[in-house]
Amino acid sequence: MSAAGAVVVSALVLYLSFFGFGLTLPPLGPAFNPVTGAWTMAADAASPSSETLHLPGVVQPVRVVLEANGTSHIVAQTDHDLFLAMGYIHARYRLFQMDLLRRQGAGRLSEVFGKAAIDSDTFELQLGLLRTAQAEWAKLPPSDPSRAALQAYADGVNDRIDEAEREHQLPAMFTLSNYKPARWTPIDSLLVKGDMTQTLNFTDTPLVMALLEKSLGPDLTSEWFPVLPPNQQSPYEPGPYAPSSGVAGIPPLTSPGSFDAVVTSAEADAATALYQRLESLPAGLIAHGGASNNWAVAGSKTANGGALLAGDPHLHLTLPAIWYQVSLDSPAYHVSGVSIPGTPVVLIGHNQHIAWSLTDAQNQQTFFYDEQEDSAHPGMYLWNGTWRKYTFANYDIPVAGGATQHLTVKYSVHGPVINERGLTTSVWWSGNIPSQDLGVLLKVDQAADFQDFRNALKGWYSPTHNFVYADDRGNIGLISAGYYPQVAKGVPWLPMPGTGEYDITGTIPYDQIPQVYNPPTGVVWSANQRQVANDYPYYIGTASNFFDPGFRANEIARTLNEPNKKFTAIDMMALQTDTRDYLAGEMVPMLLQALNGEQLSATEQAARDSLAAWDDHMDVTSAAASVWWVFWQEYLSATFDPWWKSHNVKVDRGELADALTQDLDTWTLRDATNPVFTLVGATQNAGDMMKQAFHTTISLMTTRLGKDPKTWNWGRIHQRTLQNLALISGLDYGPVPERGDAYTPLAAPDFPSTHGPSWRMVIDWGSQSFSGVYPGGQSENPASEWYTDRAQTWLDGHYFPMLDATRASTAMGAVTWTLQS
Amino acid sequence: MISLGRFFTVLGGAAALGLMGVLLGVWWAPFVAGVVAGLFIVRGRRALVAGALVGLAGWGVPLAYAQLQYGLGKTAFSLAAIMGFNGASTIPVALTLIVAVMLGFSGAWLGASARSFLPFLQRGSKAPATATAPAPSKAGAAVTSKARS
Repeated sequence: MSAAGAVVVSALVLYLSFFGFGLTLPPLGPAFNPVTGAWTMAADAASPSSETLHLPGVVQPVRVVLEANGTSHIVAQTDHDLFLAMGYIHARYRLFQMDLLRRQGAGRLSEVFGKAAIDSDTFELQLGLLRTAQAEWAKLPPSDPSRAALQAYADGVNDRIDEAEREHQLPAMFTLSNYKPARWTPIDSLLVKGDMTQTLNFTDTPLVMALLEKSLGPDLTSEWFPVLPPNQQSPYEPGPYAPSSGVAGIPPLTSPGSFDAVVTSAEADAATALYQRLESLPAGLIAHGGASNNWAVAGSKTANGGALLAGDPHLHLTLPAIWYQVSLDSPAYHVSGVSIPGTPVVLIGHNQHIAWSLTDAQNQQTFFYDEQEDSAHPGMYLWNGTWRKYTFANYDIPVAGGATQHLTVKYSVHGPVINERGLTTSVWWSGNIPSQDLGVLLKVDQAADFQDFRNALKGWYSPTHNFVYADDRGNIGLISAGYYPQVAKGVPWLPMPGTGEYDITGTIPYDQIPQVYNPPTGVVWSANQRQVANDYPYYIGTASNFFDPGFRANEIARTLNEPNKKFTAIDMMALQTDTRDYLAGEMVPMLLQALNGEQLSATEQAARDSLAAWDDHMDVTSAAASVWWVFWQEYLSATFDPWWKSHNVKVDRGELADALTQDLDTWTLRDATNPVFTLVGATQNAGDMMKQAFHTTISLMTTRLGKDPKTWNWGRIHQRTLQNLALISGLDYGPVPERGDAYTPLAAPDFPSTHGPSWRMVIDWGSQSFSGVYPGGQSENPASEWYTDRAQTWLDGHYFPMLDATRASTAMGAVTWTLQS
Repeated sequence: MISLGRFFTVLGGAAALGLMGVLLGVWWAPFVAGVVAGLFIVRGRRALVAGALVGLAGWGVPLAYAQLQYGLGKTAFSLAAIMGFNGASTIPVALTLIVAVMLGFSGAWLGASARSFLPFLQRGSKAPATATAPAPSKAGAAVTSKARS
């Protein structure tokens, strides 16, 4: 009996130690033993020391300087070694993040995380990131420098994987998730690029528009969600424009009500099914709006005579961050800035002569096609008058703890079929055009002047970005580079028939895409607003759903166009952390006017007085900021919720908040008796609706925050959280009180806000000073000081100097690694 | 006294074996060391105690060394968060030590049980090992309790 017990207990202990239990309990032995298990993260988290590291692929010794905060400076004697070292360094500090990114794009998350990731994997394989990455790699000529860079980078990553396995230093998340990283390939880097393209510009807006048109009707939809912006905007390229060169078939749309398509019930049902499917996918797979800032000031408008450039791309704020800060020096490259782990380029930064930053250009790059089928032609669709067979690709999706899933992806000429409920819907997405965007970025990294910069960006496809530029000779520019799909006919902001005549015919010629160089104003700016005025001769997307409502851009333009102002780098930093809400600046006076003569309680009167004394800044200690924001949400709700209910609109109103805000702003200022205000109750105009919303606001806030409006600080209801990439809440940073809102240059949307300035950079060519900061830190290891060491500096609105390798090597706390074979 | 001397000799040898194995990357070495302890320690109850100690040493010593060299506070905090026990840093430490003890203990129990099938190891025994082995649940509880303390 006792011997049997010994055998049973031993078997149980060994089984759990070797195999764990399903996905909930990793193998206890490998996971928790202190020498090769997860505890090794303690050693990995220790501060590095100067040493020589042996990497098989290095040809000549490479010097890597690590600043006290982990910023890396790679000095190589060959370009090959530079990219190899970059791969090694990325993998050393971000290997798990890199593996997650490539798994996401390749549809291989289920292999590690089980059934919970099957929807994501299925969608990614249907959409085709893997197929596109493979095609891009296959099309790269052997002599292309980016091919060599990608291969060297992959070799560097693999050198680190080998080293980590040999020395039992794999990140703990691998150990705890019970798998080892596969070899890195150049296609993996292209997948990471694909992930970013998808998260920035794969949109479901045509589906949303179809549902809106079906429920609200074409008239209300075209008025509330127009092609051209209803409110005052600040395009950076105001025109005049050259006439359309003929690629575009859609005439300029200068007024609402120009919808000529009717959404049928079958189309609406198909759109509903697809919309619901896309909405159920994990966050980040579908682009929902955007928020980034960049601008440049010419030397003629600065205090020291040198050009200034500022950039802060707004993304999901994760730990580790999407960025890794690095400087690269080799015979062909001298560049400093931020890179995305998994890719061998500096995406935003500066070299010896130019600086650049990006914002999402927001033009429409996703188009849906309803394929025409009939029972007489099974497995076929009608295109250009002939019946064509669908083509197919087959994939296996390994599932941890379950059976491998088989997936067959179907393709029409437009792209992958992603819905077959009701209608067969395929999607054309510019992210699926094989393009050499990493090669473009390598050229940008090397550009010496605007001509180089502009020539390089000619090859940029997707995601379309506003590339701001400033150089060491005082010049500035802005190019919204990328692919601008044009259709010959039809309504591209709705799903279109797939019969051929509505297909994409090409893109806007490069010379005619939005761009400026040394404009007479001496300033350029972008904040995801429509880049051009209403008379631009091409369709680039609808105002309400692809472009930002424009409040950040308006505030930035207002600041930069201040007459006779000579700007400094400090002014740039102040504008990046500016919390003035432009919309509040327009609306609060209207609210105060509406409240004139209104009977107010003592609490309401105190709240009203705080608004009257307010400077429109969304600061954490401002009670008026809270009143304003809650009021605006109540105003939106009071105005639109009755319509949503009466018309049974199936799209979440919150998803359309930007568009409806744009409308409400416009009507309140210029159309106070718009019929939208009269659907319910006794309201007759905007003023009535504002008063009603104000009373509701104060009632709500009293209930939630107490009776004294002086204590209703914005920081009590608005916080910031940096979310752990693997969604482990205990490894988040925050929530902490945070300033700003969705419409301030310091963007902080949502509650808590998990989206915002992912990197702030200010370049001052006049003083040759370069500054930057991102939230988080260089290491993905949560036990490392470099996991969150930059977070507070970023929250405080401070910056770190972006040093070159020489200055970094003499900075306090710096260590140097020598990499050699 | 002779029996105690043998006990400590075997304990020391087995602990060294387990520790060496772990340091060489063989995380399950404490189980093997436990089996050795079980085989060579005459009294079953002592063998089980020795097995638990061997397991504890095999993983505990490297863990203690890591604590001295790097500090394990943040690591334990992070592991607890990953396991879903936010802020409960003692849980991964306790789990690690429990696994270590169980490896050594179960190995020792298996070894002690095997002694009855290996007559040449029973020379000098005062009683068959299997006759003195405690009920597994009681022993497990005792060792677990010790590890937590």
